[in-house]
Amino acid sequence: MDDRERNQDERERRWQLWMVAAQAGDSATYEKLLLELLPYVRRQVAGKIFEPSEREDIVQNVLIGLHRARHTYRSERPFGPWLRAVVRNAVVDWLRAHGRRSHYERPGGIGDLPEPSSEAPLPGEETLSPELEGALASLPASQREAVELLHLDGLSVAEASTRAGVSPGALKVRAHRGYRALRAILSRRGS
Amino acid sequence: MSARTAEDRIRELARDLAPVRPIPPLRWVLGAAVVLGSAAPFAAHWLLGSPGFRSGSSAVSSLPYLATFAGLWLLALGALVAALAWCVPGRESAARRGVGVAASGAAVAVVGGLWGIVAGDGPVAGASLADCLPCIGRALALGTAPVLLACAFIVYAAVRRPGSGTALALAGGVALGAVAVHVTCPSDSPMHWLLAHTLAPVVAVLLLTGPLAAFVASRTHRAQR
Repeated sequence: MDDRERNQDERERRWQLWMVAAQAGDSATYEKLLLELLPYVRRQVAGKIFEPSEREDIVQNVLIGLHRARHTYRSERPFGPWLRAVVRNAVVDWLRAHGRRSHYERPGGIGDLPEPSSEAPLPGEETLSPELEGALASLPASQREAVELLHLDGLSVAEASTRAGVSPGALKVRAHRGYRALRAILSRRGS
Repeated sequence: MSARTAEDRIRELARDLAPVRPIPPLRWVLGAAVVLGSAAPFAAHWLLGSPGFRSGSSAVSSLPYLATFAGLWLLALGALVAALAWCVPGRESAARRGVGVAASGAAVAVVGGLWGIVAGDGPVAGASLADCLPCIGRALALGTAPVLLACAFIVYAAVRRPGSGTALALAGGVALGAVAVHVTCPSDSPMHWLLAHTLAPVVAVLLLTGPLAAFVASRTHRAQR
C-alpha cells in the first residue's frame, strides 16, 4: 500500500468516525466534517455540471441532502460510496427539477472546466498522470468515454452504459478496446 | 445563485444539528418482514380459523406447484430487498439485484403455472372471479404486516421518490402473503394458482401503489421537517 492509498484509508476512517459523532449530535465535529467534505463535493459537482453559475446551488443542495440523509449512513459500511450516492442523488434531483439536459454539455471555453484541486482523491477517483491523460485524449471518443465513465467516474457498467446510451455489452467492448489502445500507446512511448 | 455561501450553509446545518438514530441494517428489516409474513398464516389459522396447511394431495409435489411456490418466494425476497435498499444511498446495486431476483421469481411462478395448465397437471377449474377473489384478498391481508414494515422503513429512511419503493414493498409483502395462501389453499388447479396466487402481487401493485405511495410521501415529508 503506498502513501496515497494509506492517506485515503485514513481519511475514509476519519470521515466515518466524524459521521458517527454527527449522528450522535456533535455539531462541532459535524461542521468539521462538512467543511472537509466541501472541496470534494465541489469537485464532484463540477465533474457533473458544466454550468459554473449553477454549481454552488447544487453544492448547497448536496449539503442539505447529506444532512437529511445522515441517518441512512451505517458505520460498518464505507463512507465514500454513500457520499457519492448522496451527491449523485442531489445532482439528479436538481437536473430533474430544472429539466435541462444542456448542463451535461461541456461548453468550449477552458475557463468552464472544473478547477483542479490539491485534495487527495477518494478511492476510484484518482488523478491521472500527464502521460495517461495524453494517451486517453488520443483515444476515439467512444472508447475514451467508456474508460472515463468506468474508471474515472467510478460508475458501474449498468450506470455507465445508461449514461453513454449503449448496451452494457457494447460499453464493455468499447472499454476493452480502449484499455488495449492505451496499453499500446503507453508501451510505444515507454520504449 | 443563492446569496448564502456553502460555508454559511454548513454553519447553519451544524448549528441546527439534532441527534439521529441510524437506520437498522437492511438484513434485520428484511428478516423481520419475512418472519412477520411467515407467521401470518399460523396466526390467521389459530386466531381466525382460516385454512391450515394443505396435505394429502399429489398436486403438492408436482413441479408446477413447486415452481409457483419457489417463484413467489423469490419474488417476495427480491422485491423486499429492492424496496429497502432503494431508499438507502449507496445501496443501489443491492436494489438492482433485488429487482432482478424478483423479476426472475415472477417469471418462474408464471412459467410454473402455465406449464401446469399446458401439461394438464390438474383441473382447470377455480379460475372464476368468485374462486380467485378470496385467495387474492387473503394474500393481501396476510401480506399487510411486511408491507407496513417495509413502508415504515421507507418513511424513516426518507426516500426521495416513494412510488417505486412502495410498489416494490407491495409486491414483496403481498408475494409473501401469496406464498402463505399457496401452501394453505386446497385448490389443485394450476389455472387457479396462476390467476389467484401469482397474480395477487400484481393486483396489489396496480390497485394500491397510488394511495400507499401518497401516504408514504406525506409521512416522509413530515419526517423531513
